[in-house]
Amino acid sequence: MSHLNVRLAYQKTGRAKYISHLDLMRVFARAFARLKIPLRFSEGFNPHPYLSIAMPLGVGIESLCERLDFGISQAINIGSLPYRLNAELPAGIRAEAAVIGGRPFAQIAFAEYKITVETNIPPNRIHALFTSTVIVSKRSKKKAPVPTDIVPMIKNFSCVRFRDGIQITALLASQNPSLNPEYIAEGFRQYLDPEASFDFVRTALFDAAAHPFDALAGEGNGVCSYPPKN
Amino acid sequence: MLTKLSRHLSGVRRPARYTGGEVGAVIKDKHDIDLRVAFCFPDTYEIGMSCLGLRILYDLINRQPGIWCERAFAPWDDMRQVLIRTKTPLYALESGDGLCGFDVLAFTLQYEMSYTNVLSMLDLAGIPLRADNRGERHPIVIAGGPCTFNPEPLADFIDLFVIGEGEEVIIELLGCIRTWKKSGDSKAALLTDVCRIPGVYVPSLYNVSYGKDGLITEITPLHGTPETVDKRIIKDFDSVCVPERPIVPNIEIVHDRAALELFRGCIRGCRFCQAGFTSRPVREKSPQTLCRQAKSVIENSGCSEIGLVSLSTSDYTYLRPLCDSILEWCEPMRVSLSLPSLRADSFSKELLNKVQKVRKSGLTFAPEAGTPRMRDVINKNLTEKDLMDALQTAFLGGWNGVKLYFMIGLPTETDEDVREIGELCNRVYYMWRQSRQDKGRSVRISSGASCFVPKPHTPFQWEPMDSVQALRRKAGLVKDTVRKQITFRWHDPLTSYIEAVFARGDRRLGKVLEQAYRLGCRMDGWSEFFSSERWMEAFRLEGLDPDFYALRRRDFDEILPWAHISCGVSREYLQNECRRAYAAQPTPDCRSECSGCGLGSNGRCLNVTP
Ligand code: SF4
Repeated sequence: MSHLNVRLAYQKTGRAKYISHLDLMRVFARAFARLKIPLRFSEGFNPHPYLSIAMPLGVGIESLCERLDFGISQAINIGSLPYRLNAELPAGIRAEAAVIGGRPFAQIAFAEYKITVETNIPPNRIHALFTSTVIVSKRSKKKAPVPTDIVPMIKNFSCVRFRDGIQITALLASQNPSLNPEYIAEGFRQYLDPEASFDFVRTALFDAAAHPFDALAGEGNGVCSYPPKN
Repeated sequence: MLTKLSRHLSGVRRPARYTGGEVGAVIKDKHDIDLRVAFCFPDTYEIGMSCLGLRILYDLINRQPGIWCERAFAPWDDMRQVLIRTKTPLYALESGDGLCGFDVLAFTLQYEMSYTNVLSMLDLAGIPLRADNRGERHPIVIAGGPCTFNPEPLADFIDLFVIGEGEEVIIELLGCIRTWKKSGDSKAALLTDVCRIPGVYVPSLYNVSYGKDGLITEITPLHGTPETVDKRIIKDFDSVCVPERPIVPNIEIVHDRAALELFRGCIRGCRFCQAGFTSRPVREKSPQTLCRQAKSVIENSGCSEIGLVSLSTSDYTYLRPLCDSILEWCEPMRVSLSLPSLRADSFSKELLNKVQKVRKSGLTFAPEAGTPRMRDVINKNLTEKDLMDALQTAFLGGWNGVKLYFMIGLPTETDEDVREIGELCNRVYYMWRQSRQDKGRSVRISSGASCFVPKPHTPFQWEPMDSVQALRRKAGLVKDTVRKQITFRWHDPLTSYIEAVFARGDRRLGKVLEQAYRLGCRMDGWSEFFSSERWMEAFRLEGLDPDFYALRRRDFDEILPWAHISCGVSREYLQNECRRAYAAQPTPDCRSECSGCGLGSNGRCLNVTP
C-alpha cells in the first residue's frame, strides 16, 4: 500500500506548554509506538518516523490549535485515534481530531493569539502603540538581531480589560516573515511597561485569505474571535 | 504549586523537569493513602529518571495499596533560586505537595558527589538537615543505593540506611513505618524497632570512638542492636518485575532508552570495582523471563532502543540466544538493541552484527590500564590481543569510532604503565588505518582517563589515592604520548579527590559536608558548580584534614569506618586479593573457579554449595 498522511489536531495547554518542540516529537513517537500505530519510517542507518508539527510553539506558549502530520504504512482506525492517543499523552496534550490528508502547512498564513497581560496600562494606549510603529530587535537563526518594525506583521490587533489586566487578541503573520508572539511582549515591555508579565495562547490558524486553515479543532474557527470570552 | 510557579517556570532551563504530568506517573487519591513516600534523587531529573533503581522501586512501592510514592529531584540552580525567591518548598512532581508533609523521604545515593544535593533538597523542603534537629512530625529520612556501603559521612543527616538491594526490604520497612504511624509511638521507638530488619542500619544506634591519632578505636552498637548490618540481596532475581506502566519522560533524559537488567552481581572481581564485590553473588534472570520482559518494556515505553544492562553484559550465560530472540521482534519494530559494558574478549562479528542491526550505536571498551602487568594488578583479565581483535572486527565491519576508558593512579602504577595507555591508543589508531573500509572517512578514537578512587569493600580499600599533582602529571604523560588524531580527556583530579575523601570517610565528615553546603557547594558532580576552594575552606573551618581520608595508607588491621557494614565478602579475602594485586596475580572469575570470597561459606552464594 502507498503511504498515507494523517493529520492530528491537538491542544497543548497547562503544564504541557513547557514541553519543547523536539521533546514533544519524541513524546508523540513513543505514544504511537505504544499504540502500535504503523508509522512510516525513514530509511538508512538511523531510521526515524516521519513526524511534522506545524509552526513549532515556543516553550511557555499554550495552543488550542496544534497540527501534527505523520505517515502511516498501513490503514488504521482514524476515528478512534484521538481517544486512544489521549490515554498515552502527557497531562496537557489533548488530541481532538484526526483526518487523512489535509492542506499543506505552507498554506497557514496567520495565527491568532490571545495574550493575557498583567499591567495597569489602559487598552487605548496599547492599541495605539501596536497600530503605529513598534521597533524591536528581531532575532533570526543565522544573522545578528535586526531592529524591525513588527506592526506590518500584525494583521489584526484588539485589546480589552480582562480581570486585573488586559487581554490582547492578535492575528500574526506566520509566513515570510513570521512573527513570534513573544515580540508583542518585548515591544510591550520596551514601550509601555517593563514589569508586565504575559501568558500566550495560540487560538486559531488562518490561510492567506484569512479563512480558517482547516475545519479541525481550534477555538477561533470561523472568525477571529474577539472580544474574548471569560 | 505549578500555578504559583508558572510565571517563573518559563524563565528557567528545561522547565519540564519540574512539572511532572508524564505518562506513567502515578496519581493516587489522597483519601485512600495512609503513607506518603517521596523518592528523592539528589541530582537532576534527567539523571534521576535514567536510574533503573528509581523506576523499579517507584513501581514496586506504588503497587502497595494505601502507599503513594512520588518523585523529587534536585533543582538546577536557576530553579533553586526561584523556589527560594517565591518561598516555595521543594515539592514532589506527582502531587505538587511540599516534601515536608511526607511521611518518608527516600534518597538514593548513587555517587559521593551528590551528598551536598541531599542537604540542599532537605533545606529547600524546609526540613532540618541533622536528624537530631528534626522533630516527631518531620518525615523519616532514609537512604539506599550503592554509596550506603559506607554510609558514615551522611550518618548525621539520615535516620536510617537500607544496605544492599532494596526491593524486599523497602516493603518490609514501609510496612513497619505504616504500623508505627498508626501507633503514635516516638520516632526513637520506630528506629530501635526497625534496626532489627536485616539490611536496615540506624546510624544513631552506633557509637564511634576515636583515638588521639584520629583512627577509630571502637564502633559500639547501643541498645543491643546488631554488631554488623548485612546487606540484602534478592535471592531469586528472576522474580524482580519490570514496571508495566513505566514513566515516559517529557524531556530527553541521559539514558533515553528502555533498560533491562540481565543479572546482578559480577563474576569478574576487578579489584578497583566496588560493585563487583558489593553486589555478589551473580544471579541471572532466565532467558524466558528476559524475553518476556524485554517485549513488555518496549511495548509499554514506546522507546526505540533497548539496553541490556548489567555490570558486564557479555558475561550473561545465554546472551546470544537472548539477543537472537529479542531481535526477532525488535527489527520489524525498528527497535535497536544496545549492549553497554561489553568486554572486548567476548566481542565477535556475530555480536557486532546483532547490535548494529537497526541502528549503529557507539562502541565502547574499557581496557582500564595500558600494560598487561597493570591489568593483572587490577584483575582485569583482558589481553591486548583480545582488544585488538575486537576492534579489528569492528573496523572491518565499517565502524569508524570507538571510545576507550582507562584509569590513572592505580596502585603500583609506574610512568611506564601510564605512557602505555597512550601507546595503546596509538596502536588502536594504526590498526584502524590498516583495517578501515572507507578510505575517505576519518576515525574518532576518543579515550578517557578517570582518576582511581579507592573504594570501601574492595581489595584496594587500604590504598592511598594518588595526589592531585601526581594525577595531573600522569594525565600529562598520556596526553604527550597520544597522537593528535586521538581525543584524550581526563577527569578533573580535584573532584576525584573530594570523592575519595567521602568514599572512605567517617561520620566526623558530616560537619564538613554541612559547612561545605553552607559555603555554597552543591551539584558537585557538575564541573560548572564544583569548587575545590569552597571544599578546602570547609575542611579548614572544621579542622579536618582531607589528606587523612584520601591519601593515607591504612593498615590491614585498622578499624575502617564501614567495619560494621557487611557485603558478605570477608576482610581476609580482600586482604589476600590486595596481596595478589601487589604480585600482579590474577584471580579466576567465579564461573571458572570459586575463589572463596566469603559469601559461599555462609551459604549466600548460589554458585557454590558450602
Ligand atoms: S563465593 Fe565464590 S563463586 Fe560465590 S561470589 Fe564468592 S568467589 Fe564468587
